[in-house]
Amino acid sequence: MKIHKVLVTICSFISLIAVFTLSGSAVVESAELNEPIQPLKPRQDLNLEKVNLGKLLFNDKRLSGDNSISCASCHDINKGGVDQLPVSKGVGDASGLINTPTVLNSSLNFRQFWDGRASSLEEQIDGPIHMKHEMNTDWPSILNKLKQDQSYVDSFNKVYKNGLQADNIKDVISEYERSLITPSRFDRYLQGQKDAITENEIKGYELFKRYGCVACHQGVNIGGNMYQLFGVMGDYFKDRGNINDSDLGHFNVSKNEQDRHKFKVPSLRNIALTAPYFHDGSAKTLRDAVKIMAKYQLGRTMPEKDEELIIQFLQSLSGELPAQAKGEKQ
Amino acid sequence: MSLRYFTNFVLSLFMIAILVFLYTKVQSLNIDDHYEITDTLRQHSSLNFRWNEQVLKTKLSLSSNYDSVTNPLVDLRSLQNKLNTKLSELSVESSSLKESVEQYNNSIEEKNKLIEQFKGQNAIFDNSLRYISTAIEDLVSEIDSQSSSNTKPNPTFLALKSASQTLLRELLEFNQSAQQNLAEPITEQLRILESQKKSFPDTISVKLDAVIRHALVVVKRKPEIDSLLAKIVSLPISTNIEKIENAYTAVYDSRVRDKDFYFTTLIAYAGVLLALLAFIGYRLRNSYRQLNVLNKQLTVANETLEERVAQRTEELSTAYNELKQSQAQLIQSEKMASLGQMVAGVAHEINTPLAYCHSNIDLVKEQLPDIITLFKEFANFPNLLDAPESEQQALKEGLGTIQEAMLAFEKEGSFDEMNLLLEGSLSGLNQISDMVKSLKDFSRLDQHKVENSDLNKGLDSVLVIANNVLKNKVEIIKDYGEIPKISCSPSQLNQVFLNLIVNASQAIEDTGTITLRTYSTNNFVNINIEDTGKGIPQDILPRIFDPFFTTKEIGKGTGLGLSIAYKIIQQHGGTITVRSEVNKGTQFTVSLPVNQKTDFKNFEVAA
Repeated sequence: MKIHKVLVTICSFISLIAVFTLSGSAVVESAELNEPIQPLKPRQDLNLEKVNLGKLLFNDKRLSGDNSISCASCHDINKGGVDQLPVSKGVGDASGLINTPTVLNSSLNFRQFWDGRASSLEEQIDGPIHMKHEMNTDWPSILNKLKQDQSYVDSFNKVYKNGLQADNIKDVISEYERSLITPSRFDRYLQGQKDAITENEIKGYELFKRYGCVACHQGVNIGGNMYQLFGVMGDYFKDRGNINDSDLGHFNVSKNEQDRHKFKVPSLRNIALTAPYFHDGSAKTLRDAVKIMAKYQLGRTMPEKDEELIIQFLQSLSGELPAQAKGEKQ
Repeated sequence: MSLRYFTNFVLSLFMIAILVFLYTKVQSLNIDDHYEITDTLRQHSSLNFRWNEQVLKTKLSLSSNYDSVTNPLVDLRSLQNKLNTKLSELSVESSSLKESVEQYNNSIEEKNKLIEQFKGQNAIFDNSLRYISTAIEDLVSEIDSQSSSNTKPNPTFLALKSASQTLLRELLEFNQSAQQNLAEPITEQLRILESQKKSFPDTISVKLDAVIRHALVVVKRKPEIDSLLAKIVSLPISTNIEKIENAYTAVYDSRVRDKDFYFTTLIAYAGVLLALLAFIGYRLRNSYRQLNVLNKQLTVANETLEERVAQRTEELSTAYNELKQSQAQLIQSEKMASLGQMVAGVAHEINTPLAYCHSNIDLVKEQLPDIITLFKEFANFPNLLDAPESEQQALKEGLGTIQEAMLAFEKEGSFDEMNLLLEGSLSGLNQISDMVKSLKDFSRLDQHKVENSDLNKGLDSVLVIANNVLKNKVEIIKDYGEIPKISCSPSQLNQVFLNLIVNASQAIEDTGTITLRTYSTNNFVNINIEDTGKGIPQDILPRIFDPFFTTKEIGKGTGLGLSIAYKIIQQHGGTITVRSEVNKGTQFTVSLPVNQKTDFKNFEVAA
């Protein structure tokens, strides 16, 4: 009885919204509303001092326990923001547990990490810093090392009242990461430049939508705004075998049975650059990834021709870093 | 006094502290905060509403991406932080506020979880729903192509075709409807299709499989999504916001009441302070008024002071003049006293020669009738010579008488005696004359007159005057040296010497000597008067020149003698010194400069 009442309410609500949407404001926004993918716009509100300081720290190996790796070691912004390995190498060549997600456009993700355990970029930094098989250190050690560096001390004193602090290091690195926005040819296409991408790529985009990839890979970051079960239309993990903790996905965070094998839907921006694919790095090529997605997520078989077009479309998503974000790799 | 200041200071500090305390209490209620909190709560309401709206839009496929469902959380998180920061202080006071905020935060977490579920479910559902018509179309066209290759239509193919078309209709109907009971027959239908799947050729079976799987997704997910939506919408978000609002309002109201109380107290306190201030002001004004009166009096006093000073000065100068006058009188009387003292002696001195002059002249007078008789006889004698002889008798008689008388004179030695007497009288008169002269010398009134004076002579005249005091008692030894005449006021110096000599004689009880010595040394004339008297005790020696100091009985001496002497000598530019030994005698030495330039007009005081 109660649920019925609620449903009636919902229906009336929906019709109300429908009337609103159709009648007025929707006309102006319709072009954007109708496209599930939104064009990417670089951030204009960043503090450049912080961005530059963040870039230095992002490339600073002193952020690892044995001064062997920096953030950039795994997140090479010249390699699509990843290391292009199935799993990353940490300190002392320790093998990581999961495939490195790209740092590019990561500020647009609704949460960080494959399992979404960090709600912000700042929170995310704590992860690799402390992981034994990643940077394996802690903030007091990092601060001890960085405080020897007068230029850091001076720069932080200039930007922050309390100078060089863990929170401030996280703040500048996050600010730098927020600057790593990569608009692509496809964004120009979305903004109305019809010849920004090839006809095949346009066809690929149409297929991408028609096959339902866009059900999850949508929004401005073409993904990165929801959790989705890996294996909607088939049991991916059973087929792959050898299930480990990383495969449990968001369940590791929520301990909710419903979240087992659910992952943050990754952004498809720069996807052509970030092979191998998936959290386990199991798909070595884009074609493999498209095949697996079609099979386990869409429950469809895809003709090779369609695969090819979709891959072409995906390649149009590789973007350009803004000038100040492009940087040297240590 | 300082304790009082300290107490006052502490008291005023205390009163100011109370004022500041009340003021801060009144100010503690920040109305901006209040507006911000109520505004934030309103924003929470509207954002939650918008979030719901976006979710429903997504459900309706009016929105084709999930950014609009995801992003409100970001805004909501910052709003939550703002609200939590704003309310954290107040939550300490109100447990119901704290509770309601917690409930709200929990409901937001719950809502977020539900929406995450919804996004995942809806994406799959939406995709399958979109695809199902295509999948059924594909299946139908596959069946058609299989059928067209055969001349005779396969009834099972036709049944599948119609079943799949019915399925599509039912699924669409199911999607549009809110009724749960439609799911059952579709699920049943799908189970039948699933069981028949293997009887179809592979090309059809694959398509059918896709249709069944996607249809199952639609059938399964639809109720789940509906239930999620129902849960999302029925979350007590607005109720919780309302609870926060109520709890906050309660806290705020109590704060307002507190503020009102403190405000009233502040007003009352300020009133009391004002009254106190007014009282102090009144006191101060009174003090000032009194001060003004005193100031005026002071001014008047200042103004009259000069007058009074002039008056006093005049009085003083009058008194001074009177004093001077009385001093002069005193000095004069001292002079008269010493003079008087002398007069008795002088009178005596004069009396003695006067007495024997008197008796001598008396004696001479006694002789005078005999002389007169003789004279008459002689005068008659010539007549007798002229007379006849008869008359010789008478001549003879007369001659005899003369002869007799003359013999009597001769016999008695009357002429020698008379001569002697008259000589004695003359010398007596001379003595008197000398005495008078000395007296005149001594006390001549022309004090100012300065002349070249021989002090030895002066001393002599003094001795004459003092003779009466000295005789039969004191032996005077004069040891006068050759001294130059000096310029001085002789009468004054004589007064000094008389004083010293009389004093010396008075110091001598029985008999003794007074030695007067004069001598000159380097432009100074010294007069030394030494007696063999009883001397002056050492303890009073320094005081003998003080005015009014006397060892004599009251009424016997003025005590001014030596002080006047001292002054006179000083005014002559000289010195007077004393040396005394008890029972041996006293020695006064007066030294006077030969060429002194004293202005004798100043002698007035001494005179």
